[in-house]
Amino acid sequence: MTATRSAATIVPTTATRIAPALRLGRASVRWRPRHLVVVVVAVVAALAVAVVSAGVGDFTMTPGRVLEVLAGQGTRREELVILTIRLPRILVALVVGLALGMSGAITQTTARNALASPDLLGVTAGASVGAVAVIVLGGSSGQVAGLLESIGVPAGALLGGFLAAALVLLIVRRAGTTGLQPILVGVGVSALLGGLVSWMMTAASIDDAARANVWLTGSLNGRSWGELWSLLVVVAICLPLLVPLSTRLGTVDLGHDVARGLGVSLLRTNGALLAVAVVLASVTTAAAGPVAFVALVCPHLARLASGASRPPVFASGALGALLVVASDLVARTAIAPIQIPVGAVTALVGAPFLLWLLVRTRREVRR
Amino acid sequence: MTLMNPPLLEARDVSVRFGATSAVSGVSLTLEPGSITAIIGPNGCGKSTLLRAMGRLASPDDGVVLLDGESIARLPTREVARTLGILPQSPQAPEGMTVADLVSRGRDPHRRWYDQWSSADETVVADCLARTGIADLADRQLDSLSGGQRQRAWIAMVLAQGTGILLLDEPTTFLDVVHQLDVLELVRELHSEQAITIVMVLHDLSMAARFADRLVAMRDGAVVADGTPHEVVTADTLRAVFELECEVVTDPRTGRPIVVPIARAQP
Repeated sequence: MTATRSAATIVPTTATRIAPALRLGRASVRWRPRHLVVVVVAVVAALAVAVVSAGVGDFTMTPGRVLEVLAGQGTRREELVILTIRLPRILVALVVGLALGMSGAITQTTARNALASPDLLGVTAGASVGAVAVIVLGGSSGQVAGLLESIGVPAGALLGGFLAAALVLLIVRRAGTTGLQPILVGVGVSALLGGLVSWMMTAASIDDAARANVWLTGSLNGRSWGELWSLLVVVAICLPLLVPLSTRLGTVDLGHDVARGLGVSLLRTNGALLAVAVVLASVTTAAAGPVAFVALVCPHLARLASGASRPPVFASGALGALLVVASDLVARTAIAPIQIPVGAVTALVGAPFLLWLLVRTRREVRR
Repeated sequence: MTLMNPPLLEARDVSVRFGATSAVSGVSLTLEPGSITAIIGPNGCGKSTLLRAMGRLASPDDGVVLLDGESIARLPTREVARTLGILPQSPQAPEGMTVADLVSRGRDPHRRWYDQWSSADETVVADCLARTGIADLADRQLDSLSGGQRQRAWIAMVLAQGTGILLLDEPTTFLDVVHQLDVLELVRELHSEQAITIVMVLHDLSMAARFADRLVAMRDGAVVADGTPHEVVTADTLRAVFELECEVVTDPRTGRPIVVPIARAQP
């Protein structure tokens, strides 16, 4: 036994292929065709649903006609419906889904917990407190308008999201990082913040409370280019940061001790990863309200679809875009002319998934 | 395989406390480059904590760990990871991870974000898989392997770091005697091929005496005996370290001491 193994060590092994690679000059990545297929299929499906969605409504158009309008060949009326009313909302849905999917994948891997997501860790609740505080406390006339709304609400959500995340991390350090512990801490903090939101809503004027309430269910109704731009700017800053950061996720996923042994600075790498996840979750909450469960469900779908040991970040984002844009189509059309908030649709899909996940992973919550 | 010139790892008056309790108190230890050292001692004696402090996974409350004369706490952790590999006790891989995936993570300290799977990486990983005897398991998932095979995969991962120093925290825990032998034989082979410095925390005294050149015995956070297996594995020392009444005989095949436990020593 020993003799054979010693002999094997002398055999030159340079010819061995371990895993296929894509190499170009000094750059190289693992070639994972299944990951790529998942990303491409999800992106194509999301765009297809987006085009269909743009044609559905009071003023119906075929997908082909939608594409012609987008190419600048529509009538003035068609352009108004598509470009001014429906397109910004659909694009917000796509970007919100992308950001939530990526945020969820990063959170799950960094926390090494299959149940971790920005919703369950209190980030969404914190962002809600921040945004509702701006809507309720800022709007003396019953309407937060102009600059305060376009900058104040996202800023409030960001601040609230960060504070909630910091609070959860602080408590988790004492309560324990394994199993259900972080989730329970997140639930506790979310309950506390939910109480704060209810308190503010009760104290608010009826107009503010109504606006905040629609926002709190996660609504894409009436999203305009304004929300889209602030969302796009943040996502455009986060994406290039994520490309190098995401290469460390596989190491982070091996646990604190092993990752540190492999030279991962927990403070810098995990800190940066979590910060990006919190920023993404907070700004989407600011733009569309808490769109429930997307950040929890998409990483699992991406992982199952690509057959990986951890949720692939970009596939998860692509599936998130697909899920939110499709949910928005359902929300707009299911009981038209009444529009259900998109968060209600994703919750109807996501909550059963969470329950199924709890049953399935009962012994393997700690990933 | 090229012989390395492993750097010098040294602990100076290291103390580690957890709250009010002291896990390691004032330990100084210099590791001869290219030696195999085993740290032994009863449960809770601080041997694991000392190893973790030397591998910068635990930070000393007093004293300093020096890597080639520089404080390991001040060196960038990524730079340390190119010189020193540490395998913590019972590491857990994510569900569904393959052996090749795990071992390739060992290249992490060496690669840039845009260069994730170079042909050099592939060569090193293939070599480490072959040297640990698990090349045919490369595509298998870790969950599907036996405990011994899984431990080999983890050792292949730290090996892929290509470091001159390897710290292994109880690499044989939860393994049956054959797999323990397998893993320790492997460690000794790796050592004789490359003359890297190896430190292991081990529970089995006879295994420690058989595979290490130097034994460090700890009790209550302090080093109480330090020397060759013959110097440390004596009835008197083991009574002092483990409160163990035992007979020490010599293995006729290896010439190393073997411990025959008799009873708990009466105080």
